[in-house]
Amino acid sequence: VLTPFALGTAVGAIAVGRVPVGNAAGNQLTSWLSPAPVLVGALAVAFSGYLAAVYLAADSVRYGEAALAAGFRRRALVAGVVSGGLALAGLLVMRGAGLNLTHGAALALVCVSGAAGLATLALCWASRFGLARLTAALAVAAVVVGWAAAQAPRLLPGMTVTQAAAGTSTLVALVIAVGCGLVVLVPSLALLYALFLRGRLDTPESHAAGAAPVAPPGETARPGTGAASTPIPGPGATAGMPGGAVRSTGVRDAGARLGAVPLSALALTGLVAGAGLLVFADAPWAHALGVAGLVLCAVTVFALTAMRPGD
Amino acid sequence: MDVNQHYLFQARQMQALSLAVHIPLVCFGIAFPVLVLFAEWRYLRTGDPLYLALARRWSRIMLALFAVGVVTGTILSFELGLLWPVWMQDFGNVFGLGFTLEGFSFFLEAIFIGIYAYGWDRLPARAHFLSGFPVAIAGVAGSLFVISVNGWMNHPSGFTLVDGRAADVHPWSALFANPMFWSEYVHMYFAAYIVCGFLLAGAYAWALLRGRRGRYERTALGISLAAASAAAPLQVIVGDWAARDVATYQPVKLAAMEGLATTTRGAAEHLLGWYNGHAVVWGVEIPRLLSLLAFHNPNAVVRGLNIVPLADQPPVNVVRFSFQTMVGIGTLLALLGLVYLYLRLRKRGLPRLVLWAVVAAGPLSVVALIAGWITTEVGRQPWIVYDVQRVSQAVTGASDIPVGYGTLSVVYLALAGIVFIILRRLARIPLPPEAVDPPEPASAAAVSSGGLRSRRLHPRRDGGVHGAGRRRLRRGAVDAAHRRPARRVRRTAGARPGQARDGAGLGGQPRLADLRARGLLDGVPGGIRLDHLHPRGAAADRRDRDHLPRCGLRAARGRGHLARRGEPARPLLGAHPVRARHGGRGDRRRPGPGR
Repeated sequence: VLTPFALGTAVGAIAVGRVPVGNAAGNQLTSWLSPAPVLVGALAVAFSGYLAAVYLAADSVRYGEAALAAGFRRRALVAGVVSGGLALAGLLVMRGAGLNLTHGAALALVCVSGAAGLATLALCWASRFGLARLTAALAVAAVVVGWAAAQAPRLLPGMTVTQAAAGTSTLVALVIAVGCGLVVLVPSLALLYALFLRGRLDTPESHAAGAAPVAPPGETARPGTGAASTPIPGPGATAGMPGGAVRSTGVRDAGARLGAVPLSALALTGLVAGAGLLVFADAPWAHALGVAGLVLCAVTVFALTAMRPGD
Repeated sequence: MDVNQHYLFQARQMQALSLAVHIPLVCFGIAFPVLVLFAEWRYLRTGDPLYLALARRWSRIMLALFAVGVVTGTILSFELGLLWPVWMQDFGNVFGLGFTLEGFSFFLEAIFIGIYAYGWDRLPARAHFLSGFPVAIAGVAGSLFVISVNGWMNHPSGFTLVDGRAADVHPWSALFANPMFWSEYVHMYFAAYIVCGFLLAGAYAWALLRGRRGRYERTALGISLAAASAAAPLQVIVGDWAARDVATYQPVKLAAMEGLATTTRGAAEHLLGWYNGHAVVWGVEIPRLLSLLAFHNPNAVVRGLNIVPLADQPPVNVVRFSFQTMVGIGTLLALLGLVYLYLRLRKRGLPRLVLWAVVAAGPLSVVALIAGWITTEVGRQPWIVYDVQRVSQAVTGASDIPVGYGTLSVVYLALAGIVFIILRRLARIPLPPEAVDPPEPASAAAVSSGGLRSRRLHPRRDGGVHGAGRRRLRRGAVDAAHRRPARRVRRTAGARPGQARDGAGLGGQPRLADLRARGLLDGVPGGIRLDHLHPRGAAADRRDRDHLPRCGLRAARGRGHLARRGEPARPLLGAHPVRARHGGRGDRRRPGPGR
């Protein structure tokens, strides 16, 4: 409750121009503990509860928890009505405090938010939570964007976005960084949500049934038959592995004995090269090679010690 | 222009406290994923359930420490803006890029650490293993981006100063083409392995000293200590590089680290002692060593504190003691690492003294880490951006710093308590039985059958067990396999299809593949597996008798390894013969790296 409230009051304080430019120039308490920021704080709490209820209702349906879904539906409806009321009150208070949300783009966004909010209420009423998630998110997002639209181009009193922005080279660098970051992040997030929404990361109980049935191999495959004749593909694929392990155990032991010598040589090379280049050379590329040598040395020494049989 | 801030020192302390809490967690962020992945990789290679248990337990600790690191890291990032707003305002356009990239790296780490830690048993083995790689990469990248900012603060470049603010900024080159940064980062990177390795190893060494000497503890100690021991001696070389960079780019910091009052040709190095404002007194003086170390020339000129006015000098004794603490502890850790490597490569056991040293090395490595950061941060004082902006110019004008400081201290105390409770709880979760013992039902079933005592039980020669004993054994082992989900193990083997087909039975003997229990023991190399299934029979007795001096009951004999010489032999795990033997033999048979 505190987190969205504090965030909301900070947003509210900025929106109504109670945060002047300068090092600790505003009043430390009244700038965010005045009616308008507190109302925005309350609105943020209501929004959070509203979103949480809608999303959890959808999750409850996915898990087949009807009672839970009904409970979240009721809460979503209540929180939605409260959020809508607070948002309307916020419109008036904000207008009085200096942020006009009732003209231009801001008004359009406020209307979008209101429509999405009403749609969410209707969808929740009809227990269509999957769609309600989208409209609920849209309703909240429209308010945030509407705030930005109402305030543009002012960032703080007496400071516009253009004045506050960093130089072009920094902005370009940041855009590149954000672009590269998104290229990595979006697929990762997609993977995470895919895993979650398909229940792959659910509680183990839900998967115990899938994991348990392992056919006793001896009952289905006679000794001497190859793995291919095993009727169950999963165990069949594994059947050869121990055989391979048996076959190669001796090879592995020999490999470990033989491997120790080249590994030691590699470690020593890395150490000598790394130390030499780092200690006696000055060029950046030499230092880079030196670090590579030391890392090589560390990795091989680690491999030599951590993988040696016997403790 | 200095900000009117009565509590500047408290603001600095607050920042220092937050950094000191966060940095050890960063070490775990860098090094721990690699160790966990190593353990999982060993499991995938050998099928030894011990490694699986190890990786799973470590991944839980990793997740817990990551969560704590999120809290402390969030506090830290807010503090940078809240405590030092002028610094952010004037130079944020230079170093903001580093924090942006770090943000993405953090999200990546958070996403995949979740997938990794919750994906056990739920993802295919290989996919799960691969999901750990982004965690390791993000751990390295995140610290790299943050330290690039610190490197820039120590050696600012890539901008021109207009009215006290950065203009004409080249953020990429400012952060990453900075010679100071790379030595600092590599130094921290090695430190991460030292701290993470020694702290983990300390916990297991403590367990060993307290008598918990199972295979699990010894393997965990082996891995963590190997990482720390490989890194600690090399850190000396990296440290030398870092110190020379300091000598080149931050001469005042170096002078403070060494207590060098005036610029000197052929400067001497002082160990210990006290800087009284003019010179180091009561210290051990080694002539010309400082010049030699700093510039590789015994006659080189080392600039002293007198090159800047007194107001621009850092507090010498704080910097100097921190530096000497770091170097002293670092040297001891390097020696300990070398001793361990020597003992390990000579296949000696670890004397109790070494175990005690490892226990001490954990906390000491953290002390060295923090001391190193104090050296670099306090050594930069009074500058926040070296030679460009003072800390007193960067600080906030807000008057309630003590309130924040007090709140923060309470939060950290609570956090410390939570971490303690979480780690204790994680440590108390019992090990899965197959990670410590041979599966009991299998042994019980096998013992009841006489056939297993045959001489023909050599595991590698004919792969096994025949007749009625075989069937019972199988049933018992299958029961054992049902005790835990076999899914993962199956997938493990599935990941190596080549093996599956060409591993046919040897010499017309029945394929072991068709005889062995499903699931639990899949992928366990033959030697170990039969060891698992093997009862305490005549063959086992004979093997122990025949090979006793070389391998067998090394653990149970105890002498010279974990016990002092002359003490009566103590079995490692009580009087249970199979367990004790298992501890010694299973390890000896574990296949090495070069398959």
